[in-house]
Amino acid sequence: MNKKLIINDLSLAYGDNDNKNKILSNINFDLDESEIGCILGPSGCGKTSLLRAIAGFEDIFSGSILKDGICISNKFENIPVQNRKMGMVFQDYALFPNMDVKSNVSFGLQNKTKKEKNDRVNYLLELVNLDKCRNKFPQELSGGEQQRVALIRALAASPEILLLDEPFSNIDADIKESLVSDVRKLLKELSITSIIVTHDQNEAFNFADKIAIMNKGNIEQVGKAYDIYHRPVNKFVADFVGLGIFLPILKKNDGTFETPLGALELEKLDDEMTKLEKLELLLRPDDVIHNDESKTKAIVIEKQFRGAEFLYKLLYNEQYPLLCYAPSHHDHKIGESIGIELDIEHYVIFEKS
Amino acid sequence: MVPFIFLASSIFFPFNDNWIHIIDNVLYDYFFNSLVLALGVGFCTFIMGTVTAWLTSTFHFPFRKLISWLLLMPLSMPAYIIAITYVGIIDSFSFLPDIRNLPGAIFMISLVLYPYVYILARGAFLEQSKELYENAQILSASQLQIFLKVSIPMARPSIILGVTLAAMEALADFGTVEFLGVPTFTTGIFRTWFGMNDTVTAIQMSSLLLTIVFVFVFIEQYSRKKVRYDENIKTQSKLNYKIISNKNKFIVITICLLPLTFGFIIPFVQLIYWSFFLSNETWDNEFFQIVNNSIFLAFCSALIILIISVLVTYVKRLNPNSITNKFMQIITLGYAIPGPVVAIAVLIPFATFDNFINQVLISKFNYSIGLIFSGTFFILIFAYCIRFLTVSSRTIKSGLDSISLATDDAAKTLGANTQTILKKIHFPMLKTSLLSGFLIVFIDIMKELPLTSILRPFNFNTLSVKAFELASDEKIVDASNAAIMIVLAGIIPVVLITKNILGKRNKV
Repeated sequence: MNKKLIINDLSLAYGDNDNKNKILSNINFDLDESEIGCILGPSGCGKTSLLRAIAGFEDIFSGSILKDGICISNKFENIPVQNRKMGMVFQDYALFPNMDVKSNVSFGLQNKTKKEKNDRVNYLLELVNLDKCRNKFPQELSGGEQQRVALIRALAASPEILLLDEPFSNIDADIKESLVSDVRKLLKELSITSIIVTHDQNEAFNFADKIAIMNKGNIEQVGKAYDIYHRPVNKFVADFVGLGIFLPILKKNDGTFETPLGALELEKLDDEMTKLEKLELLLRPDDVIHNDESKTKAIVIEKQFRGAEFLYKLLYNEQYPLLCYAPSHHDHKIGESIGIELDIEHYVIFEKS
Repeated sequence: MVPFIFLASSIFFPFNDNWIHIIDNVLYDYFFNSLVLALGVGFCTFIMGTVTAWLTSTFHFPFRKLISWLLLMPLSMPAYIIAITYVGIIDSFSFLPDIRNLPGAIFMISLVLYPYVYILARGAFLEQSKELYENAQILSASQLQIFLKVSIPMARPSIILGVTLAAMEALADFGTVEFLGVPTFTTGIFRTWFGMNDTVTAIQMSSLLLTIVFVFVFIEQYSRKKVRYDENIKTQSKLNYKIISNKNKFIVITICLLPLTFGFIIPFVQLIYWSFFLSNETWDNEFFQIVNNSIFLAFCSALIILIISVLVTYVKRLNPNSITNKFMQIITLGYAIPGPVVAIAVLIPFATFDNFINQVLISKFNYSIGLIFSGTFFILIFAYCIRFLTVSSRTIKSGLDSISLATDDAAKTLGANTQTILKKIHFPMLKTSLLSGFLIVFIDIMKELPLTSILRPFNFNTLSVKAFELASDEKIVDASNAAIMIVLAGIIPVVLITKNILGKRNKV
């Protein structure tokens, strides 16, 4: 039950007292020991500010941040960055250009003996396969290498919490995926509590145990990747995470619910939701299954080849767009009419705006 | 700050007879000469600077690298020294045209200031993209057309910046125009102040000159913004140097050597010749005393200015929006203000203050402590600060800007406190900027003439003052020793600048 990090009703604001410009309001988030959290949101939503508040770079306006049950930030007190025992990996890595790799990594080990420093640096360099680069300068390293140096530099002093600010945004797409899982594996091995900030949902899904979706200074939803994708709590989350379209729902007098693609199964419906007047159903591309046998037909209007599968954009009944994944050997032409059926495990229904 | 408020307030002082005399008789001349001088220097440096920059950045010819570097050499020559030298040369060859007139002054000043335009234009030309040239070639434009219609318009912000800097320096010039007998605002102020002993009118003229200067400052800052904007467009491929025929190579080299020969080689060789064969001044103790004085004064002042600029730039970095910052922006305009104007703006308030203290002391205690500030090093160094603070703070700022704020943050998360950050990160990274900031100010002070000659303590001679005095007494040949020392010192920052430019190019 002991939480490593608790963020309690946190608000952040810039500007003077009369003219407060709130950039974060009522943020609640917590992490267990050695859990990896992610703050996911579009650019400008305040996610980096939240991370900087946790690191201690920003004074907070209200609320509090607790580490191991001890308050490290509130309205009146802000423990200095240096004393928080947190490591941070910056977006552009912020390696010290005047120092070589080993001096960069050992920078945070100021109170250690020379031998201790050396051992630690060697251990970390081996951990990320950079032993050959120990005497190189940051300018001489590739982006991926710089990123790994920044990571072990942050880890060198064994911080209790590691903060990562868009650490993979400057990495080439081809090595990004493997790097993301390597770093995750490493953090899990070291069982270090971490928070990553990103705008990339794949990164978030692959990296984190727990994801917080942020928008305009608020946290919209906290949960596991699966829940966030399949059970979004509002339209913003549904829209931001994954692909999908909304289908109108017609509420009938006999208590049933009709969509253009057929009636909804009543037992899967949530009572709270059905009380509302105008409703919409979220359809992910994986909720719509392509089946040549099906009598329900839709016309292909756009298609994207994605290797293992096609993403088809379809038009049903001349007015309802749909998205559908189909195995890539089902290669249909644009304008062709193909059979589809719905396979929805859980209805996600929102009030129509 | 006080000095400038003081200058601005001078408009409210009553205008006296001298002012009317000046308006009636000489103000038009001052105005006309200063303006024509600034515009003329702007025009000449534009031609010399852009043409040499274009040739050295476009064509392949023997000794291209060496010549590109040597073209900067005239920067080491203060304008008044080159004027003194040419007057000496012309005196011994009567068939040469006289340069003791306005065109002469324009020519002399342009010869040593064209490198401003050259450096900036060359940098801009080298950054221009290959695709653009090839595109123009496909559209069958000739080399010259490309130069006029593509290269120059694209480099315009940089060129305007260089030309404005040169024009401002010309406007602020005192030594050259004084020596060549061209009446301008700066010499006029000097004459009114010391010749007619009319401080009030001199101050009023200074304010007027300052207004003109600010117009140029405005243009300069505006074009600086544009330069920054243009720098955002980074080009991918570098241009190859064009191969040209031998005849053309010869023409290109000749054109490039012209400003170099007239701006550096001829005067420098002449100075050496005079110094070794004709000068009556020996390298005696008195001379070394003067060298010592110059070095001592320049060293101390440069050190103080360096410390102040470090403080100023750090305040700027830590709170970019503070009032101090705005205030600093005003103060650092000093480089644009002509020497005599700074001198008068500094000297008069301090003299008034001194007199006031003395009067109070005499009336209360019947005791006088004499002048506290006037005629001391304090006031001279204070004036240097106003004039040269910009130079060193710009150098340091560019160094500091290269250290991203995230670096500081990173160090903090690793447990470093402010002192550790300064010691381990900022200082090692700023070392070069600090050194070059210091050296550039050091050399500028060695060369500086009007401030030093007006504000120096009694009987304290420096190289620049000595050289100018001897030359003004028609002992041009004897001035050569001091002049050579100044030029030699001036070569150091030129080498520094070149190193910077080359360093930048290697990185790209």
